Amino acid sequence: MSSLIEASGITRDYHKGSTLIHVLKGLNISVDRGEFIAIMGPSGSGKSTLMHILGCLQSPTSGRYLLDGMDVFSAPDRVRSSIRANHIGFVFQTFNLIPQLNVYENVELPLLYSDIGNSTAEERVLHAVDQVGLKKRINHKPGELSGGEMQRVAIARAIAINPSLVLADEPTGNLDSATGLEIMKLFKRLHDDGATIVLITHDSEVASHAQRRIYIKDGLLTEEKGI
Amino acid sequence: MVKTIRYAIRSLLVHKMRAALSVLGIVCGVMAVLSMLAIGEGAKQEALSQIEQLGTRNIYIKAISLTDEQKIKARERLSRGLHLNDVRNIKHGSVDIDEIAYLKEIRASLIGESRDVTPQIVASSSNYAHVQKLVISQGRFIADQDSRRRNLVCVLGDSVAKSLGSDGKPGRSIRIEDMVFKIVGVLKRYDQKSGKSSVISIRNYNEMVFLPWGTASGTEQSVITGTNSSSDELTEIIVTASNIKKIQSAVELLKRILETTHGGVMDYQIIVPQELLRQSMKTRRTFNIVLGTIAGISLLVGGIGIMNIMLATVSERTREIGIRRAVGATQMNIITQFLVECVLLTLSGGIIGIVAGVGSVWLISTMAEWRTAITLWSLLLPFTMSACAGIFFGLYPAYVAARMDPISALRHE
Ligand SMILES: Nc1ncnc2c1ncn2[C@@H]1O[C@H](COP(=O)(O)OP(=O)(O)OP(=O)(O)O)[C@@H](O)[C@H]1O
Ligand SMILES: [Mg+2]
Repeated sequence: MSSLIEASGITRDYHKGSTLIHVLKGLNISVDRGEFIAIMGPSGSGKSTLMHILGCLQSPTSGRYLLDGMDVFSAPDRVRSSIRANHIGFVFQTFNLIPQLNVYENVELPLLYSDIGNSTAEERVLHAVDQVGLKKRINHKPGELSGGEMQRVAIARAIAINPSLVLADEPTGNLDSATGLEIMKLFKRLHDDGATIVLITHDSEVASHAQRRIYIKDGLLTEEKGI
Repeated sequence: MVKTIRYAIRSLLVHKMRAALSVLGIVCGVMAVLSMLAIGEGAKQEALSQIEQLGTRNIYIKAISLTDEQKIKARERLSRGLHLNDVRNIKHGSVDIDEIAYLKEIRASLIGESRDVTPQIVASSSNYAHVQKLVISQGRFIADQDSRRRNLVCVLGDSVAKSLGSDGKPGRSIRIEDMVFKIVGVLKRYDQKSGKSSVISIRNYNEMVFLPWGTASGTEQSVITGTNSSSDELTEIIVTASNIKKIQSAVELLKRILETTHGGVMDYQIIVPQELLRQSMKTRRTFNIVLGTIAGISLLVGGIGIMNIMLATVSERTREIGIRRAVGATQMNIITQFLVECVLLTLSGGIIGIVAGVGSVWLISTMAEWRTAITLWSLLLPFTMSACAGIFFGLYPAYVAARMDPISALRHE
């Protein structure tokens, strides 16, 4: 199988006042097309940072990142936007829903920027909302939802475009184990349909659904093979 | 795009008061521009309709009454005022002239029961009606032979005829001073188009009685005795140029002829209707400059106000921008979103301004009694101007929004 994600020597520094902190220290990661992997690691280890880089949302300080063979960070911003809109489904740790928009409109958001036509868009939105079990809440604003419901809206938004790459940052963090399991089933179904899934989690129970688990520590990755 | 517009309207409505206040400057600017255009257009139309009525090819030479002091001077220089001789001189001296008509006001009055109209008695050349486009409703106008034979005939203006009732018809007679004149014609009602700001007064032909030139004002003796009419002095000469392009040269020539024959005494005045347009525009230019300045300043101030509000909006919605960018919005999408919002804001200001402007134009035209005209152009220009202001002043805030780093925007609180 060919690699969908091929990153090498990725570093990311942050300025904290006058000190420079190195969060990612030249890590290498490669994910095959159609793979389901889990990234685990302690808090502050740089998991979210890595996800943002893999999602073409934040450039690495140095290193090379090929997505589907394309060096995305030397491509124009417009191209990265288009990749995000059409191929990547994000589930953010902090949900990142727009409070002024209702559930439907939040889920619809990536479709506005993708190449998907208006008629299929509506169908996709309704299907995605249905899959996360929020059909009854479709006209509610995020402020009227519980943490778990907001998380499910975020998931619905990520899957609405039928992404080939799903990047999910703690997607079950706010869910009870039963709902969490539902969501994991959803990810599995997406995986079965051919999507590549990168899941970030603290929970080894959740991580056990993945084909491969990767640990991030001190800005580098270590891998644990098999289940 | 429909969704973008709908969303923009929604986010504007979140801060209704803010939007309303920010748009005030644009409202004022648009109002000023619209009023300016409507007043300018009104002035132009008024001048044009006057020119039309006065005849586009006509040149008016009017006698000016002199002060005693000036009269002495005029006599020294052998000027006899506006005179039949001037007509002859012009006829001989000019080439680009089609017709010359002339008229003299006679201080005589119609005898009869008191009426609501006091007609003005004039003696005119037979081509006067033609030159002034006076239309006959009954009978005929004064003819050449009336003048030659000193016929005791007259033509009545519409109001005069009406005031005479059944006696105001061709075939009946009227008395002027001690003479009886037979009515041979009645003029059709004359629609006087002089406005308040007319540079030249248009005669009210409805209240006039025309007599043949030779009858009323022969060189040797006038038929009407006891008046000052027994001379060839004229009140007005109307010269019709052979075509519009020749007016300027005809005027030059007239000036030269009259200057020599009148010995340089300015006991006459030359009025060219074509010049009315220029003059009436000039009178309103000051007003236009004031309004134009107000328009410019309020559009600028309004625009800066809008820019300010948009910058505030952008910084308030940083997180939203981050989210949109994260799910795939391009920088262009973000620019479009904020530009649409800004243009909607200024356009609604523009529309309010247009409504208020139409109102203020109405107020101006009733209060100042100025003729105004609102054309499509005077609605479209301020409308597009407000749209352009939206684009112009929205561009920077939209650019600020688009340039944000998605991740920093997402982390923004
Ligand atoms: N924009 C930033 N500016 C400064 N420091 C940052 C920035 N973003 C992340 N960091 C730092 O980088 C480190 C890694 O952050 P990151 O969010 O990737 O951690 P994480 O592994 O996702 O942690 P958690 O499990 O708590 O979500 C943290 O120490 C954080 O303080
Ligand atoms: Mg994190």
